[in-house]
Amino acid sequence: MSTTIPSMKCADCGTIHPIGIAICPNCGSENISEYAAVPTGEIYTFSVNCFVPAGKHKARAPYVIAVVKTDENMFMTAIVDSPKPFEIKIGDKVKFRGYEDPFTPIFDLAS
Amino acid sequence: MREVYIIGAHQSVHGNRKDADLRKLIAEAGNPAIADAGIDRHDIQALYMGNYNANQFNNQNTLAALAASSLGIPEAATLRFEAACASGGVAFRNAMIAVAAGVYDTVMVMGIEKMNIGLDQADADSQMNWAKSGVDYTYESGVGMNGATMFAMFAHRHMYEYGTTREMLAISASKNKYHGSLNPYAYKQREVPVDKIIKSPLIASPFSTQEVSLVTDGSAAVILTTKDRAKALGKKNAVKVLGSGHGGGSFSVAFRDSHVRMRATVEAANEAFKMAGIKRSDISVVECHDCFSFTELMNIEDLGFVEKGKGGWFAADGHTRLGGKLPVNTSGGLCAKGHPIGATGVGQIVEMTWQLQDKADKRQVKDAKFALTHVLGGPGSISTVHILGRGDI
Repeated sequence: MSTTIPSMKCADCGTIHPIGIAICPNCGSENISEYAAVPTGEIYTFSVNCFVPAGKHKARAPYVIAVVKTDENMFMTAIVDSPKPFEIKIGDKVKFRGYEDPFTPIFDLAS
Repeated sequence: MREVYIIGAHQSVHGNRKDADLRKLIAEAGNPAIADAGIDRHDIQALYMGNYNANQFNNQNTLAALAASSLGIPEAATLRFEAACASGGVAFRNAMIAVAAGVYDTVMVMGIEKMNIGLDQADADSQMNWAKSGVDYTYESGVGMNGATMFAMFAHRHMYEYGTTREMLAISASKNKYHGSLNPYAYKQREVPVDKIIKSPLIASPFSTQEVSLVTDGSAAVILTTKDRAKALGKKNAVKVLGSGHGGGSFSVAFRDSHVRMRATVEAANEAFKMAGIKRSDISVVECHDCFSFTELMNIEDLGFVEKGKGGWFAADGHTRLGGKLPVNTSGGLCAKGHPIGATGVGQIVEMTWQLQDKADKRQVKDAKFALTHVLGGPGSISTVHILGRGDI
């Protein structure tokens, strides 16, 4: 488990976004810099991706893609790694594990 | 602004068209549309093309110029519009604006996509990436986000907030399979019952394989002109373009104002209805962007026909079926007629033109007076809405 989510925070409007974004999608400001966000949140919505005929996630299917809402109101598209993907539901608590590649955040269910 | 009329419309048979290359698809929609208009093809001053990704699927850019040359009108001004699944709608809107503004008197709008290509031409991973390149490549495509998972997430949130049920989604999909069974231009012309839809393998929960838009080859074309020109041609059944709207929404699936509503649709609909000067209750028939079963339920809410959250109940009560209060997707929609991405928005105009000309055969909505079309592109980032009416020539 990671203790923070490497992220970006806009100095002008205060919204938090995934790492590397150069321009704030909320207000268009370039006054945005790296920020260590809290690693906990909940599943805002999700789908179990069952059809993956090729590519890097083929062996992972079926797996959960979710919009995670962190406790600081950052919305991230992420993978939630669960051995029981069909039991996932909206509101489940999650915790950030890390980035699988520079831009693929992985979360685990919080116990 | 000049009044704009549709004087010619046609489309190809949709499907896995192994028999048809791009030129054949251009011909199948383009030539019959010109014949329907009753014009000399050299009267077409511009050809606007809706196309999503021929540059990757078919190694072909500059598709509008290819279409004009193929149709024997290389002198036409050409332009291709790419707005993901809204490409055809955006092309139509811009053609309408060009005629209304007096830039051109006669414009052909065409939409084409040829998506079924063999694994001998490109590997499956590449084809998947081309199909989903309309979403954010850096931040969302990498987790496996595609059209199905994106709209599935909207569906789950809608079910959570409003109590929309799995069965309601399947009822809407089954209705469109029925409509498709009546359409000789549809990819799938077979009814599928609700229980079979629910029991089919999942593709992205909650959607089964029977609730997703089809990878389709197809084309569609319409010809727009002025009222004076339509009158001079004696086109008594010319269909009038009453309203047009083009809305925008976030390019991020995660960071947006809502996961149960598409802002782009709401804005496009409001703009189109304001221009048309009619009420929602005046609309007789709708073609909307049912890329997945759930999407149609959200669309009829966002378009303003049903209160937010009630789309599922409206469909379950049979109101969107032929014979219902508001028949939706009489063509079969994207899940039965098919979704040749760039052609879809133009194909919707063709279907609604035929409805307003009483040419929709078994799918005809009796006494249809006003029709609405709607497309949605990218992660709900782009929407166009068009309102058409019976001509008054």
